[in-house]
Amino acid sequence: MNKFLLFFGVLSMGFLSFPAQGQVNFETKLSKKRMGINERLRVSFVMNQNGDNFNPPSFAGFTVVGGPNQSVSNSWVNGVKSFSKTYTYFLTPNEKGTLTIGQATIEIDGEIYKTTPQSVEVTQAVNNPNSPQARANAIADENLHLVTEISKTNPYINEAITVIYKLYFSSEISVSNVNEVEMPKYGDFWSHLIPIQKLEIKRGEYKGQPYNYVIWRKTVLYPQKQGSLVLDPLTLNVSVDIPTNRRDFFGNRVYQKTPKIITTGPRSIRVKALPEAGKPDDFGGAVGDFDFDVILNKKALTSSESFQAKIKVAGRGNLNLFTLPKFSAPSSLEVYEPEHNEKVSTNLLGMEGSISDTYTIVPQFQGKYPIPAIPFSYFDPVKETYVTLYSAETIVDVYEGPVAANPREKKQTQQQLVADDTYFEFIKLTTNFTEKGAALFYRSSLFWCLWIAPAFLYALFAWVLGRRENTRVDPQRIKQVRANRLAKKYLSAARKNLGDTSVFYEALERALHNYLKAKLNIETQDFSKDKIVQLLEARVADQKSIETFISSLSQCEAARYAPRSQVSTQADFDQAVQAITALDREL
Amino acid sequence: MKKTFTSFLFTFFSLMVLFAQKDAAELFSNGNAAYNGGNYDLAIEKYEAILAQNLHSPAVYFNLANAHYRLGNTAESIYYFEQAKRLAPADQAIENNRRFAQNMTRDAIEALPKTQLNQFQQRVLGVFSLHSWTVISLSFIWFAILLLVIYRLNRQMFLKRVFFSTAILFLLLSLTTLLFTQQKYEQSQVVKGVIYVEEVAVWGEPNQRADELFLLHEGTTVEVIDDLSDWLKVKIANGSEGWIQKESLRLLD
Repeated sequence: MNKFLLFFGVLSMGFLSFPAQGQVNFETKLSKKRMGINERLRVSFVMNQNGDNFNPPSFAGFTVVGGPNQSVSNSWVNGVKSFSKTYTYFLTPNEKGTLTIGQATIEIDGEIYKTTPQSVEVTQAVNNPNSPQARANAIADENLHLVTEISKTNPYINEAITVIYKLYFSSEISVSNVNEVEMPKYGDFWSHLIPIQKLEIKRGEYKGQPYNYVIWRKTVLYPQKQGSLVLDPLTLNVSVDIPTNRRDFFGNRVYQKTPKIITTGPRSIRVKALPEAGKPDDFGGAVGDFDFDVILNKKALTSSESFQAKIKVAGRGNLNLFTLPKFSAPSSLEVYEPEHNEKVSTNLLGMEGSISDTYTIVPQFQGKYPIPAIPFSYFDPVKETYVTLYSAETIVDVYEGPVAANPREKKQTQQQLVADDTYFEFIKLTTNFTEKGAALFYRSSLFWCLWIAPAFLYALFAWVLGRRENTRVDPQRIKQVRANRLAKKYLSAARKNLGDTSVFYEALERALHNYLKAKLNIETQDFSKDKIVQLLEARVADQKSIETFISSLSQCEAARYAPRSQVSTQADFDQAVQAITALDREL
Repeated sequence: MKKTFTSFLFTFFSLMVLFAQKDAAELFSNGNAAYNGGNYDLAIEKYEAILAQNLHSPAVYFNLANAHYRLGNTAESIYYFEQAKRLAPADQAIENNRRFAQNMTRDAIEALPKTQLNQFQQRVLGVFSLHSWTVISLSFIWFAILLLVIYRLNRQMFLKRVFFSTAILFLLLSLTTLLFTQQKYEQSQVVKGVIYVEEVAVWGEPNQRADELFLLHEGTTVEVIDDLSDWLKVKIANGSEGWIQKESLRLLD
């Protein structure tokens, strides 16, 4: 190849006119200014004096398929020496449009020289069937195919699809030096590339013809968006050995090596949205075929221990693309943040394995804690239905520890909580049944009657009593009433005559006598003090009040014979009133 | 003729009730035996049969709640504990086991703090049932009237005074207990319910266009304060209110 290029380079030298020796010339020469995207560009950097430290431009937008080739020519023509040194690159454009070959630099005699940048217009691919290159291309096209195999072109969202890129080549040609020019980026997919350890050539058929093929790339995709999604093309740069008509010295066919860019072209996939009908409320985006389980490591424990609940989904599907259902437990259990665990391997059928969340739970009080059934829903793309799995409802029995207490009792220390309050009590064995929905006694008419009745009864009683007292004819009682009245009358007469001493004491003494007559039913006129004391003591009277009464009487007697001052009349009246009041209380 | 028929009917019904009582007692002891044997389903069946006869007692509700608790049926257990508590508010065993059942619920609702006075009142009211309070109040007033009568009949001043002041004291006591009875009655008139579905949304208005306020779970006890067609306005222990659909709640009767 290089030999050929050298020859080609030297040949082209002949047509170049060289500038005069002495003036340094360093320039870029392009084989064409306009080219198809499927053509090649030869770029030569030519100098007329020998230099060092050649620095090529970056060739942005191109792929270097050959070079650099270096050629030097010295010629003597009519005694004039001409020198030329050329660096040649062969480029293929990567894109259409105007591309620029940048500056190359060279150091000649300590000075740095630069070329001027040149632009190339890259147009559509051109047909040029007559060129040997085109013939080679045609043969390559016929015998080389890059095929995308998609397992399902109308999958559901999150359903696994496999994309396999196969390079078919017929037995006429051979392929070497394959590299990827453009790798597809799966923008709207979750993708996983399945690594291929070793390329293996297998025999297969392509469009009815026997072919050799190589599986170049295997990818598992999970579409993340509904609608028409485009798979970017895979583009390979392949060196193809094409047989020519020439034979070598030994009669073997001579192969021409030609580079070939081969692409799959874009493919589109129509992604279906998951059906809305029958979508469970708790659907979290799981698509595939799964098993679901909640595993508790203990079902009976004390409140000082902890237990673990593992929510596990195993099976095949988009395992790491959905969230696991949350663990829900009675509020009196302390549930800590879960630990997430994934054991997922991806093969051609998609992701397979299990993911799990492990919650650590600490009970605080003894009792039974039901762990409710946890639902997990997924979409089965094969059956095209939603499936909801429930974990088994289990009860965790915490058989020892403090009992759930109300806050008031919580303040008490552990020791004060006596044993009789810390267990679930047994059922009651005796009972009295009452009728359900029996009418309330309170607010019933019977209740109001019973409430009001005493008042009426009492009023009736009081009335009857009053009447009986009024109607009863009791001469003794009448006398007593009269005596009372008389006592009052004489006392009031005495009060009137507070100033007149003799009249006052006479009135006071009479009042006291009258009072006694009325109270004690004494008919006699004998009112000696001894008799009075005798009578009063018989009536269980207080000794002190008797004394007051007697002293009051004796004062009256004394006053009738020994006149007294004004002040003492008042005191004596008060004493008499006191005496009567005191006696009245006793009798 | 009519009279004989009425008396016949009366005897018939009292006999019926008597038979039912006897039947219920048998069901009760059968249920207890099943419970003790660990056959909670059968025990529940027996106890439910008693309730189906329109008979009840705190013990039946309590045992039924215990059986449901053993089976892990949160809502049923809480429901029957509440029923038992309604009939026997001061029973320590019921309150103790109800707290166990409370542990099974998923809602942790912090009750509003009560004032000292309120707590004291609750404790006093809790001592007797509504019926007992009514009877106590009535007996006080009758006793007061009896004392008044004695006061009237008595002639001795000292004894009269003693009887009169005691009568007034009992009259006041009777009025106080009547007040308690009224409060107890008002408390008993509060409609309560237990959430019977696993999870229910509480809405701001009795329609689903309004905002969803919060979620309640199975076994939570709520107070019903209002209703509108298919919706009930409920109040939970922390004072929050909202509307829920009728079928998610089972009311205590």
